[in-house]
Amino acid sequence: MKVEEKSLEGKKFKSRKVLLGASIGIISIILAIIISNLICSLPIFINSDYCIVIGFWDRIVAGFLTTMWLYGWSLMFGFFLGLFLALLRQYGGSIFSQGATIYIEFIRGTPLIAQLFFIFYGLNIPIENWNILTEFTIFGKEITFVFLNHRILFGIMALSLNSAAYQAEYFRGAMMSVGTEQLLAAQSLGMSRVTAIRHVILPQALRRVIPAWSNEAAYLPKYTVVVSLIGTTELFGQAKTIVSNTFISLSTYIIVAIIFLVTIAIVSKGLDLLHKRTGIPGL
Amino acid sequence: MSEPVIRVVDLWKSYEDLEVLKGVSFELAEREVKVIFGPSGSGKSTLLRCINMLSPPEKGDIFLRGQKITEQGVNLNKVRTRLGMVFQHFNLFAHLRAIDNVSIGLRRVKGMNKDEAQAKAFEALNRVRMAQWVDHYPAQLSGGQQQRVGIARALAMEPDVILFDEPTSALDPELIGEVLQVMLDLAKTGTTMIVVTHELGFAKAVASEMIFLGEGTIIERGSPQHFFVSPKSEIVKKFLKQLEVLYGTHEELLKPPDKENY
Amino acid sequence: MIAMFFQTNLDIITGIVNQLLMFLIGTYILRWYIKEKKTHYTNVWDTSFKTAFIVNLIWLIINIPVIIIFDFLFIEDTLVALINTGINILIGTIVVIVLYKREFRESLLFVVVIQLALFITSLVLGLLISIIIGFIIDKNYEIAYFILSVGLPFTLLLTALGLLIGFMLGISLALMRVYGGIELGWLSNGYEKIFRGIPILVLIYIFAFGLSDLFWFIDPVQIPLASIVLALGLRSGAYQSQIFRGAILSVNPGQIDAARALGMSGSQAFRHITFPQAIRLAVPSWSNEYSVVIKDSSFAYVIGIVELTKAAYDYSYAFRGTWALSIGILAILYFLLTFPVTKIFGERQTRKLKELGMGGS
Repeated sequence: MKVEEKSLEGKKFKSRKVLLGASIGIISIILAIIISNLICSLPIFINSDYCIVIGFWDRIVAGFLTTMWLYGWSLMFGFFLGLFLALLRQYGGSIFSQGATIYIEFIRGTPLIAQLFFIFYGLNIPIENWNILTEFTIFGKEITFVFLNHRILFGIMALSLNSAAYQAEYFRGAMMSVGTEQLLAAQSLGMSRVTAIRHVILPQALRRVIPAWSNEAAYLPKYTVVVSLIGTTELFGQAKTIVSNTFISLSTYIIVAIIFLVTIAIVSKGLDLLHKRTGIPGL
Repeated sequence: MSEPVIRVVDLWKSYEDLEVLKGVSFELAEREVKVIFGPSGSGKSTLLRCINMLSPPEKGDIFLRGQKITEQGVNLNKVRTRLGMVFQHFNLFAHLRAIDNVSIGLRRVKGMNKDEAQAKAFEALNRVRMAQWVDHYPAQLSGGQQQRVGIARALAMEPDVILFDEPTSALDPELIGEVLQVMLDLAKTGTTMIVVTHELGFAKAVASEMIFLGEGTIIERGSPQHFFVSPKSEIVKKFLKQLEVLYGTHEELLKPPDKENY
Repeated sequence: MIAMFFQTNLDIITGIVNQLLMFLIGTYILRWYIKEKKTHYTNVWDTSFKTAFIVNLIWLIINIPVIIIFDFLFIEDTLVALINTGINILIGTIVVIVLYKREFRESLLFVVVIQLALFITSLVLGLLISIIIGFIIDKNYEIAYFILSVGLPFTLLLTALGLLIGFMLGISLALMRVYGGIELGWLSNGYEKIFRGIPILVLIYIFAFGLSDLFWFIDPVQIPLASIVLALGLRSGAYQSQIFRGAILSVNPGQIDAARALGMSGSQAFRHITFPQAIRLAVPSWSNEYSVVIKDSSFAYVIGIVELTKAAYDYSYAFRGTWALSIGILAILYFLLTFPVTKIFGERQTRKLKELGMGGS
C-alpha cells in the first residue's frame, strides 16, 4: 500500500539520520573523554576539583549512556502512545475522546515523581534483582551498561506514560490546525474517516508539529533524572555516588549540569536542522 | 495668505536598500483635501508615515504650520498630537471600549481629566454617528464601525490635519459607504485632510488636488477634473482604467447609505 | 484479578466491576470499528452491535474461569494479570479474524493495540474504582486529610515563592529581550537556555550542597528551603520570560503605531496599550506555569522538606501496605490543585481573549 511505502521511506531516511546522530554522539563522547583527561593531566589542573571528578569519567559515561537509553525509549513510546491519544481525543467518539482527555489531563496535572513512585512501589512486584547488561572496557576503565532491569523498565514506563500525555497535546494542536475543512473534503471524496485521517490529516499534522515537538523531545532528557530516585544509576545517580566518594559536590553537579545543557543543545539543534530539511512550502 | 498647514520638501526615504520615496514635495493649505493615489508599492503609506514621523525620512524636510518637525530635538510626541492618523487596519486598542479608545489620547497625552475627556470623546463619536456604540469593544463592532471609531479617535485630538492611510481598503464592500460618508462630511465641514485611497469617487467629490504617486515620485498632479477628463501620462491612464474596471464608476459610491444601517 | 496489582482490600468487587466495564468498552470499540468498515448502512447498528456483543461476551466468559483457575493455583498475582491479558488479546484477535475473515486481517495490529489499551485502561480503572470504594469506606479520607494537613502549607509556600521570584525575573528578562539592545537580548537568551536545560533536581543539589556557602546569611537549618526556592524561582524565571515575551510580541503592533500617532511616547504606549493586553494574553500560559511549579515543588522531598509528596511518603512508611493508595491520593490531590486552575484560567481565558479579538497579530 502506498502509505506503507512512504512510511518505509521515511523510516529509512530517519534510520540513516539516527545512525548518523548516534555515531556523532559516540565520537563526541570519546573526544570529550580524551580531551578532558588530557587537560587534567596538566600539572596545574591535576589536583583541582574538576579533575578529580573527571577521574571518575567511567561512571559519568555509564550514567550518561543510561540517561540516553532511558530518553530514547521513553521518547519513542511516548510518541506512539501520544499520537494514539491525540487521535482518540480529536476523532474518537465522545466516550473515547473523554477517556483520552481524562488521561491526558490527569497525567499533566500530577507530578512525575508521584507517577513514577506509583508505578514502581505501587505495583509491588516482588522481584529479585535481575539485570540484563553489558560490560566493555575503554581506555583501561571498565564500564558497565545495564540494558534492562526492573528499575529501568518502570522508569521507561513512567516516563513514556508521562511524555505521551504532553506529546498528545502537541499532536492535537497540530491536528486542529490542519482544520476540519480538509477532512470534509476527503470524506466528500468518499474516504472513510479513518482513511481520511491517515492520508490527509496525519501527514500534515506530523509536519506541523515538529517545532513544538522538538521542544518536548529536546528537553525530555531532563526528566530522566527523576528515575534516579528509584535507584537507577543514570547520570544524576552516578553523580551522587561520586559525591559520596569524593565529597566534591559543586564541581560534580556542575559537570552534570553542563553535560545536560550540551546534550539538550545538540539535540535541539539537530531537530532544527531536520525540520529545515524536511520542510514543505506552505506548511 | 496663511502659512500652508503642511509643507513637504524633497522627501527621500529608503528601507534597507530599497528607495521608497525619491524626492516628493507638496503643500497643503487650510481646509484642503488632498488625495494621493497610485499603484501599490509606490510609497503612499510610507509618505504618510514620514509626515507624522513614525518612520522619519532620510532626506528632506516637513513643516507643520511653519515649524520644521524634521529638526533634531523637536518633541515629536507633541507634534503628533497635531497630526491625526487613521489606519488601514483600524488599529483600535483591543482592550478598551470605543469611548475609551477615543478618550485615551485626550487623557494620557493631553492631560485632560476623565469627565472632560469622555465628553469630548462622546462628541467625536457622535460626529461619526457611533453614539450608540460607545460602550462596545472593537471586537464587537463591524469593520466599518471600527474605522469610524478610529476616525473619531483622530478627530477628538482636534489636530491640524488628519492623515488617512487607505481607510477603506480593508473593509467589505458594503461597509465602505458608511466610512466614506463620514469622510465626506468631514471634508465638507472644512477639515484639512490628506487621504491615500483608491476611492476615486470620493476624490472627485471633495478633493482639492489629486496626486498620483508612482515608484516614489509624483508623476502627475492636478484637480480631479484634470485626471478624469484628460490625464497626461500613460501610466496614470492605465491605472485609472484598471480602477474603473475593478470598482465601477464612482457615482454609485457617493450615494448615502440607508439610515437603517447605522 | 487485575486490580490485585494494588494492595487494596476490595479486590473481588473491584475486579468484577472492572471486567464489566471492560466488556462494555470493548463492545463499543468493536462496534465503532465495524461500523467504520461497513459501506452500506442498513442494519449497521444491529449487526455490528450484535457482533461486538458476542465477541465481548465470549471474552468475558472465558476470563472468569481463567482467573479462578489461576487463583486456585496460587500463582503470583502479577503473573495472573499478565497471562490474563495475553489470553484476552489472543482470544479477541482470533474471534475477530474468524468472524470477519479477510477484511480484518489487515487490522490485526489494530486489535492488538486495542486490547493492550484495554489492559492499561483496566489497570487505571481498577485503581480508580478501588479508590472510590475506599472513600466510601471512609479510610481514604484519613489519608487525604493527613497528607493535606502535613504537606500543603509547604507546597503552597514553595509554589508561591517560586512563582514570585520567577515572575520578577521573567518580566525583567522579557523586557530586556524585547526592548533592550542586542547585548541585553543575548544575556536574557543565555539565561533562558541555561535554566531551561538543567534538570531541576540537579539545580536543587547544586544549591543545597554545592553552593551552601552562598547562604552564609541564612540559618543553616533553612538552607534546604532556600535552595529549593531559589532553584524553583530561577527555573520558573526562564519559562516566564518566554511567556511574557510571547505575550508582548503578540499585541498587534499596529496598535502601537496608533498610540504613537496620538502622541504617546514609547513608554506611555507600553504602559497603556501593550502591558494591559500582554498581561491578559499571558494568563493562560501563566496558569500552566503555576501547574508546572506546583508539580516541581514535589522535588523538595529529596532534601527533606515536608511538602505533599514527602507527607504521602511518610504516611506510607508509617502504615505499611498503603503505598499505592497514598500515592494515588497524592496524585488526586495534586490534580485537584492544578486542573481547576488551568481549566479556568487556561481555556476559559483563551476563549474570552478570542472574543475580545486579542492575541492575534
